[in-house]
Amino acid sequence: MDSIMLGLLNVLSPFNLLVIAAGTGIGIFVGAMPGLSATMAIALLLPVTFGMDPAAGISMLASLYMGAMYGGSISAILLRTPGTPAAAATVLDGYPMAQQGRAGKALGVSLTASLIGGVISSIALLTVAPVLGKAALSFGPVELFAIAVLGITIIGSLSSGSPIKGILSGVVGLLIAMIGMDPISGTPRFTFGTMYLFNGISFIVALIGLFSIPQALRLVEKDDGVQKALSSFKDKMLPTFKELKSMIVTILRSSVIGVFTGLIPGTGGDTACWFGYNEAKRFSKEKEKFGTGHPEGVAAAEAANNAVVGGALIPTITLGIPGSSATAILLGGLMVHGIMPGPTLMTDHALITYTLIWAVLLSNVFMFAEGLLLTRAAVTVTKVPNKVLAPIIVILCVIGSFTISNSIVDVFVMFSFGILGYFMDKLSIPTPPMVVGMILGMMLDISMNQSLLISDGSWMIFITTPLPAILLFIALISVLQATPIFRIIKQRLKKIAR
Amino acid sequence: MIENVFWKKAIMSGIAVSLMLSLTACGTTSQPTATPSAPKVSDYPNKPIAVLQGFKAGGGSDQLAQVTQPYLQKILGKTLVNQYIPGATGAIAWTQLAKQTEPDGYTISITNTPMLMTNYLMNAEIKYSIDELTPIANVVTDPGILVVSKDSPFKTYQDFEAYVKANPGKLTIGNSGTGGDDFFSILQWEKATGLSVKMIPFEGDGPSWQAAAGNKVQASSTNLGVVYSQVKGGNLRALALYSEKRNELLPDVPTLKELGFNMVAGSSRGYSAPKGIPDDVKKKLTDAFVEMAKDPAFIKGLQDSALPIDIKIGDDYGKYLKEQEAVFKGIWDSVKDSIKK
Amino acid sequence: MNNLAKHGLASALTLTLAIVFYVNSLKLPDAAASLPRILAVIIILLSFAMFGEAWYNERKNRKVQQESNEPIHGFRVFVFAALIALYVILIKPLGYFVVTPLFLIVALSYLKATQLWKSVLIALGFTFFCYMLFVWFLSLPIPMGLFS
Repeated sequence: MDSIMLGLLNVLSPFNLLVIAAGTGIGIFVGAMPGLSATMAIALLLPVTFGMDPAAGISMLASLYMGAMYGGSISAILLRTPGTPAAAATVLDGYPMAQQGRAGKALGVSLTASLIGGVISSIALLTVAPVLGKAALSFGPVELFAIAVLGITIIGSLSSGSPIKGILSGVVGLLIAMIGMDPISGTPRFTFGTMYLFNGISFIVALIGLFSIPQALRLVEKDDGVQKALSSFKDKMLPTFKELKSMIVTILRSSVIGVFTGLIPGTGGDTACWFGYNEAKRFSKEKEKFGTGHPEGVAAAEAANNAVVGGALIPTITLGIPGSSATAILLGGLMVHGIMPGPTLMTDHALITYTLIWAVLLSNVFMFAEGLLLTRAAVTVTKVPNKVLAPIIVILCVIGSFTISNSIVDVFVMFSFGILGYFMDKLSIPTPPMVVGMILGMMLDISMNQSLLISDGSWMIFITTPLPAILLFIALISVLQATPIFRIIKQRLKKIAR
Repeated sequence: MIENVFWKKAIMSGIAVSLMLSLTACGTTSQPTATPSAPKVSDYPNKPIAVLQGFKAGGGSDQLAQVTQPYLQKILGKTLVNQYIPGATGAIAWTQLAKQTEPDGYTISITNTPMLMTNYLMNAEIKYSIDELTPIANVVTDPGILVVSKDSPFKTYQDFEAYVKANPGKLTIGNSGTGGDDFFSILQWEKATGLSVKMIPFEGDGPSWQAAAGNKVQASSTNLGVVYSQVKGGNLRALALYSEKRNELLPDVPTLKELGFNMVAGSSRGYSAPKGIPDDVKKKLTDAFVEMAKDPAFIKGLQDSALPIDIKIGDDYGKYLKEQEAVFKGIWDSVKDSIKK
Repeated sequence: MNNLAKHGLASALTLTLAIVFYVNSLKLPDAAASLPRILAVIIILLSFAMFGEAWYNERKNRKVQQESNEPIHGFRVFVFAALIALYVILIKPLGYFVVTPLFLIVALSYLKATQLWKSVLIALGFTFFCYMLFVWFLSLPIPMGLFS
């Protein structure tokens, strides 16, 4: 209890407050730039924090993480270009809202949902971290396989229109994910003799191409007409109490999903946003509204990705296991400060740990305040003529994809996916399933092969272990829900009930 | 046309101005130059030195850079600029170092074993080799360690070995990936003991020990620096260390040598330059590492990060790399047919 | 090109992709090849299904939601895409500082987005902004080309 209070006192020192405010602000800004993910931003600013005392430095990086998770939604909503992979699902409803002239509202919903998601995860971090942290160890290959399968069923629900096209897009994404070094046998797969493909095609690079280049091309398709939606500032940004009430259940559900997705090592915001979106749609009474500019869709994705921050920090501070790639870099930062992350972090370095936890909680407040200010300015982007916006989007994407691995090959890959995305759009083949496929493909393949190695090739291992069996059962239900069989059974049941 | 020329000029001068401004604002962003210029050896280094890193910022390789480079900068009197060129487990950066870098000492790279050698031993697509590098110094060697979960029935290495003897090929043991150091150390151990286990490759050290801690696999072969805090915190139990001597961090853990197997394995990280750098440049660089290794603050920094120090300078490092290459080649040639089927 | 032909082309492309990957998987170890092979077969089936669906729609003469009542400038999109391709190809050899402002000025002029002087201003301003953001602030690498 003492350390909790000491941590609170420490975080409230003027310097620490300043550092948290700065971290959050930089996070929002960097998160909004396509190509600069939260993980990268943390890695880049890591050396800056070496001069500070460890508690302040780590607090700054964690608040940067929190800020970037919201920042990604700004460009997702305004430019149809997710700023970070974790904001990819935000595009689906956020951009249509902006087109309808409700960009301010979309950003307001995103900010509110991010705040609630972030606060819930921070409270989980402060109160039940030691209990939840242990759960991170219960996710082995078999469990991860089940989660990957569950994630892949999302493809079905993202395929509005023709399910065939959606599933095709998703499976192509899965196949693209197979490119690169196979970690099980150590053999390069589908690399066609070039070592640039040994690490596979980065889904971040593909994501930038698939979403942004088609958008840039679409912007020049037509002359700027009168129909260019004017985002009036009269439109209130923050959701009204009534609006908030209508989506609070979704936000809470997404927050819980986010905390747990963060908790599982190997999954982070990029997965959580899709899970959150999918579940919101599943439980909604107005499924058809999703994808057309439904605020609930924005809220679902954004609450989930901010909740990941606290969730991913839980195993990080209780066990020294990073819950996401961004927290892995945080651990590296701690080590450079001479603090060994591990199970003793909460006892041996209680002051630093609790300062960090309070900083995460406080960063939500800063995120909300700074978000309100920045967003007002950001909405003016909608006033920039489309034909000016188009080449600027292109430049951000080119430089963004180059900096990821300092590689021009990534830029070519990004552009190729951009052209692909444009034609997919023309044929109304959805691109989001392909992104989901690329994110989950490797996880599916590795965990499947590891599990089969452990079980000597028996598939029973997935059914005889309780947690994977439950997850796979849910996956099966999701698949059935999308088929006519489910509807028939439902109708039959209704008839019987009558 | 005239207007065109005018604009071009205007643009060029605009560029020049902004470039000059930015260069004065920050002079640390120079790229590795491919421009051939006679290296002035006498005043080396007279500009920042680029350090190619084959892995992402924030990873294990970067950690070494962050701990080491402040001291090197102080000794050399110039900044060291990290360039991250991740991909193909370091091979993209090392190919660039070996094939496309001017050997003037202004571009060096962090070189990690065993990946430095196994990359090209295992993949015909990767063309560089250690013969195209000038080894400068090794800094850290993280010895291999055998760990099990805290509630594992194996209390000692003997329990473990007895189980493997009784159940050949049954025990599941995690490693950091096919072709990684742990993969090779398990094979070395199998060869030394004549026993066999079931290897489960993971994506890196973290998932491997975490699977052992969560009882998803029965044991994990990983590295001391990676799991030291977990062993200390009680989540894992260490059974054996693959180093020459016991380590002061875990004095109770026996080495495989004590247990009767002549086997030492681990992963090391050091610095190398391209082949053919001038002798006095090489001497400046190696001297800097010698001086750094004497600094108690540096040694303490490594200890705090549980990075076991292992300084090997110049030709010693080169000899070490050569020996390791032979070991890995022998092991890989004997198993590759069964793995690649 | 009508709708059916477009879908036929897309199906042919995915089919080729799947076959290339399938053939390529034959020389891989079994564990590495199993999942890719399953995926390739699924893609082959779905490619036929997609074409079948398009053919069915065509025969039924069902209009698949034709968007845009306003025609799109296909040629302009093509030229803009070609400009992007040039930009991507030239940025490494010539460098960020040469190609980025040129790309912006040419693209903005071609699209008749604003007056020339505004384009130049936007081009220089944005080039400088990106440089400050990526290189000065985040110390990230950008292709320097001639200026290296």
